[in-house]
Amino acid sequence: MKAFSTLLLLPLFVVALLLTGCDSTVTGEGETTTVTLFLQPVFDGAPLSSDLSTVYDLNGTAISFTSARMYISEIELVKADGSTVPFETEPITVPAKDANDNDITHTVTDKIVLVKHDLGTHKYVLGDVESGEYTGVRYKVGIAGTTNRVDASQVPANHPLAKQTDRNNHWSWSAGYQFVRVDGLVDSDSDGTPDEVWETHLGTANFLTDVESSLDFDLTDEEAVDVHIMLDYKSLMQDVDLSDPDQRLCHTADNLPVANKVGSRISSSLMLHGVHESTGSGH
Amino acid sequence: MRHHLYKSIALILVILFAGCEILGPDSDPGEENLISVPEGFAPIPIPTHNPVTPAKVELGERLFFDPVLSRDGTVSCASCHFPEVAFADPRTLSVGVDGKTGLRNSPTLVNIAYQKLFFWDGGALTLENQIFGPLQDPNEMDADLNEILQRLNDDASYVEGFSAAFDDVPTLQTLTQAIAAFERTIRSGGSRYDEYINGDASALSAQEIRGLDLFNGKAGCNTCHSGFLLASDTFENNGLEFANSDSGRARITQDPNDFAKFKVPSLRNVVMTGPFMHDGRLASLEAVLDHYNAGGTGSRGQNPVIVPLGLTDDEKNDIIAFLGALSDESIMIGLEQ
Repeated sequence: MKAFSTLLLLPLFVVALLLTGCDSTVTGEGETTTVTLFLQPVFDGAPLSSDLSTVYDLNGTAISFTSARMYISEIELVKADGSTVPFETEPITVPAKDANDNDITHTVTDKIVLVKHDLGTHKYVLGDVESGEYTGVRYKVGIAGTTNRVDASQVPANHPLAKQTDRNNHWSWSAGYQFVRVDGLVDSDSDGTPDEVWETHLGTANFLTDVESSLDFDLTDEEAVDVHIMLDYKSLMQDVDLSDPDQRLCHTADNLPVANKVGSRISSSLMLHGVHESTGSGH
Repeated sequence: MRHHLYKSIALILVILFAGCEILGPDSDPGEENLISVPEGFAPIPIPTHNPVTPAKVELGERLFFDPVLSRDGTVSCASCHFPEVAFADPRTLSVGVDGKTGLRNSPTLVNIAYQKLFFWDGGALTLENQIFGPLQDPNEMDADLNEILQRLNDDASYVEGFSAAFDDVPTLQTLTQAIAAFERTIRSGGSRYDEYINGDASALSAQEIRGLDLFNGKAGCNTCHSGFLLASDTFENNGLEFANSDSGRARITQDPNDFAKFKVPSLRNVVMTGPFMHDGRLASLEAVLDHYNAGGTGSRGQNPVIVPLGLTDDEKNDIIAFLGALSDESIMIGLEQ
């Protein structure tokens, strides 16, 4: 009888074990902490307004922003023992092309964030991590590999990789996502009022940027924390002279000199400046 | 007993791992291909996430011809892909809203389902996704996607059409799937050339047969234009003078070796699809033959296979006569035939 009970319980144990394996959240023996990314937009250290009429001084040229967007992916917290904790989300499987342009389906589990500072959104829930001591954060600006070759038109609308209806996050004339999209108006006649369009759209594997920031933080006693990262748009654009008409429009391949100027500034314009108890909900 | 235990554990494992797998949105490997193909053609490739249904194709056809998709309601897909000229554009450069022109001539859509990449430079990876190109290009339809979806959702007949096709409302996903489903049905393989290669030796005239021999021989056209589509899945620099800062495939790949390369087009119905080249710069087939006969212009990046051919006027006329035999007066659309 005892042997029979064991036989009955064993499959149930296997079921329980495997169901745990299907859970996309990180679990461990200890407590977990909910982590939210707080990506604070600034311009020269001062908050970037979501009021599109606000005028800023970029190296002596008056500019405004109509778009301030960025893709952040493959976000990981670095533990004290050197291991890393990635963030995942509900998988999606969508059409894509492989490196040889063959049709494939591709599953995305990575927690990808589409930053939309022009809409005033700054907080993005990443997920739960095991409590413990951590030493930093790693992530990519941009979308890597096959995920950058998915068919955006077929991504479920609520996913960050879905084709956005308000402004392009994915080129309509080329494959891939716009990793960084900043644009607005620039003062073209030196009267102090921005009046001509400038656009900087970065994408393609050449501009995929790894960012790593070190900072010791302890998640032992926190239920929820915000990882504060500051993104300084002046720092990002500081090498571009928008008073020069030739530098105002950049869609990566059509203006590689400007693309390189902005691309080389991505990492240094992002600063991890604290991990604090969470102050509110994110997206 | 132990044997049964292993079997039950294995069964549970199979069930649970299957549960963890997320299948594609429309995965159905048993889907019947409803699009008939001409004799000698490969089956139309249909992506599993967008199976063809009559309701979807009907909706896609309506959308294709409806200027509601453009900013000012004046330009439809058919405004630059004319059915009467094999869904190509007889103008040098295609014309969009407010009379604006872009940099290129609209290519034929006939047999588009067989292509791997889309646009002259292959910038779009799928037929569904390429729809955003003309839809959003300021020189073409210049559409605001929110506005377009609002218009479709405000139109009861479209809401009904999307419901019938997708059991859903108009979205970017359903909109692009419907148009792509229709475009996959635009196909052609009923030319005299097809009759000839399918065994009717009388289908081509003596001059056309001489032209075919030159096409595959002295002129070497088949180096790039081969297979049942008389095309290839490649991008080539055929030695045109560089113009309009259009770097072609290099704009997509950022590879200088792809400078001024453009997709090799199908030559089916070529008599109908002029003007020729990616920017419509050559008005006639005679001009095209002259270009190749001269060995191109020697421009930067010209493919070394483009060399002077030494064709006589008669030989050029023979090739042009053969190209005329590639015309199909009854191009198929939809699921009929």
